[in-house]
Amino acid sequence: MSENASVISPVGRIDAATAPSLENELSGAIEKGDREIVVDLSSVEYISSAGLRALLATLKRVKALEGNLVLCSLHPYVKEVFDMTGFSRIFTICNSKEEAIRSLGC
Amino acid sequence: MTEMENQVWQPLPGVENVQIFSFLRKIDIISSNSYLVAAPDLLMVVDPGGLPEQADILAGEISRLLAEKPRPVLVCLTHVHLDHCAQLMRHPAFRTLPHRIIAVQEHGARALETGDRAATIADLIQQDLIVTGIDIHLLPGANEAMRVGEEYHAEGIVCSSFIDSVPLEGGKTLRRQCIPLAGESVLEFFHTPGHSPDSVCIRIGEVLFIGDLVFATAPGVAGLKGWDLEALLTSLDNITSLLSHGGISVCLPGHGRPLDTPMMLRTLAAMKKEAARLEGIESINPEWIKETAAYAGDLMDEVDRLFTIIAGRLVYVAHVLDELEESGEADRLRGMIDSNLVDELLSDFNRFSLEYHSGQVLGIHLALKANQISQKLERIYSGEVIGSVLDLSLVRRVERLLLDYTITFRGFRPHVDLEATDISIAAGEVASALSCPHYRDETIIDAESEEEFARALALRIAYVNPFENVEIVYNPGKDLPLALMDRGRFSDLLQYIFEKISAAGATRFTLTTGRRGGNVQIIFHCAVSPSAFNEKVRQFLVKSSSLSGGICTLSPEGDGLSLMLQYPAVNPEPQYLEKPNQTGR
Repeated sequence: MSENASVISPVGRIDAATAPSLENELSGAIEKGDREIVVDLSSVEYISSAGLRALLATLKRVKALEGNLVLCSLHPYVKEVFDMTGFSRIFTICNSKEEAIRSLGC
Repeated sequence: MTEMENQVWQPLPGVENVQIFSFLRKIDIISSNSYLVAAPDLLMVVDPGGLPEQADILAGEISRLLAEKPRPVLVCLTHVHLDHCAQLMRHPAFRTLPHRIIAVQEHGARALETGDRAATIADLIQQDLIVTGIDIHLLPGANEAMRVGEEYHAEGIVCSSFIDSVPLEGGKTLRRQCIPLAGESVLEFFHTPGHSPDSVCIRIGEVLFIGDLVFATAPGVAGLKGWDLEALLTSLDNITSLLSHGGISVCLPGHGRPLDTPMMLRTLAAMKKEAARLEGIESINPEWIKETAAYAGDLMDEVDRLFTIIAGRLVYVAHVLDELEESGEADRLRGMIDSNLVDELLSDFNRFSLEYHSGQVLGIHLALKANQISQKLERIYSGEVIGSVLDLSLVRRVERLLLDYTITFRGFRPHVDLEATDISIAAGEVASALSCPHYRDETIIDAESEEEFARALALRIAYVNPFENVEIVYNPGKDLPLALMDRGRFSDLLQYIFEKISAAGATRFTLTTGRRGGNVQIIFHCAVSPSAFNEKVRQFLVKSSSLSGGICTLSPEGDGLSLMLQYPAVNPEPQYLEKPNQTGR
């Protein structure tokens, strides 16, 4: 089912300390040729603006390569941050990993 | 002024053949500065401090000097708070020091001899206190017999002392106790209560050891057990007079860098003004620390959320502007707040909070950390600039939270502005503001310059309505009495509740105002699980409700929850003269 989509599943907090490593991981996926990326946020209970910036930077990069990045399974707090900041309008957000993979047409 | 180098022996200004060694530390509550003074026939320690590694260094210096020439060691405490003296009781080298004489002001001496945990702040910093005998009870109360030419015998040595008074301005005098140091030179002890009842300043030549006098008005310090405003004001006047009289060039504090006399005089003058504002300050005791640490945690969670929303929304708007090739305006928005620094500060607090919850740091440390972080956030945050683009409610709430914490940490209650308020109108305004954008499309159309256009566009994009998919049904009650509440805080609270209900996944909720008994109330009904309101959210609700003048009750109702805020009615009918129901939350 996920043959063509790369699923990345960060854990814990995405903040000033951890956002760079997430961005590196996402960059690594792009560099090895992944163009359809799912970020599974089911194990992320907190995201700061550094985390939002890391995800946005990756989205812009993958879109420039005619790919896409979809988020799924947002914790209520993380969903609230996306809704309140406007990021829900930028990203495709799905309820589950399966739905996210389907949305990428994989 | 003679520069005091850290951990270097140097001549003590104003006295021949006497050297001083300063152990200076950054300001914290773990340990004080320490000072060693070496005279030919006497060594002196001022405040051995609270850290073993610090005491190791001091003990090493003392041991070396005693090996050169055995002599008595006089240990003087500027006061008995454990950050100044814990190592005197704990460190093996200090416990077994040969020919040791300990001199402490009478109140402090009694505290150490009886194991007074409050007076030594052992209860606040949760440390063990070892009961210790004191050889010289300095400057006993004026009611006790004046001991002139008294001799103290300890460890087979004799230490003489006398008490007299020095004249100050305006015919006043200041009692002092003197102990011979070298030749004609003496150690002079002055009683300077205020920070604590046992605080003393110690003069040798041109040097004045001032203990924590200059911290006596500081947040988290003012209000400690034994803190006394009236005594402090007198002590500030006395030391000001003493310094003005001349002859003292440097003041050595219990924490931080030395101060020259002009700087010390300016500090004392500023403290007098500050002290005048401390009337009514709360007691800093273990209960206060527990409450303040808990409040710090709740508050910083909400500050974190709001800052993430503000910084994130600016990133969002800048991104959309970039897409629209308005990169100049996008850069202006990115420059409105240093998101990296905000993130680092909040992340730092989170780490600290985890350490607190795992028992690695104390409540007082968490409260101090929150104060430090909130001060830094206030400095880098410009509400006026951000409010020119983003929702003013976000800006206002951040400012209020930071101010509330600052006030709480300083030992006061946050300001609450209770006024008679029509709850239906107040709630209606908040509800309608949710769907009412703070921009006008005409501003974009009428823009006369590129810059005006870009700014109007940014304002339009920045309008994010998180409730656009939520149906809000508002049922205002009729003929309700006015409620006594802080209207600004009530509005902030409602906004917070709306956000939490929306985040919990509600697509519809009802809002009803009414009355019950002598109270006016507003009730939210929505189909979300009460578990969506976790313990932190509940605590924040309770605290915010209380600050707005009301009481919050949260209870399950059918498949959802009911959240009620109650406020006392202004001039309720006589049969309703009762307090709001205080059960549950």
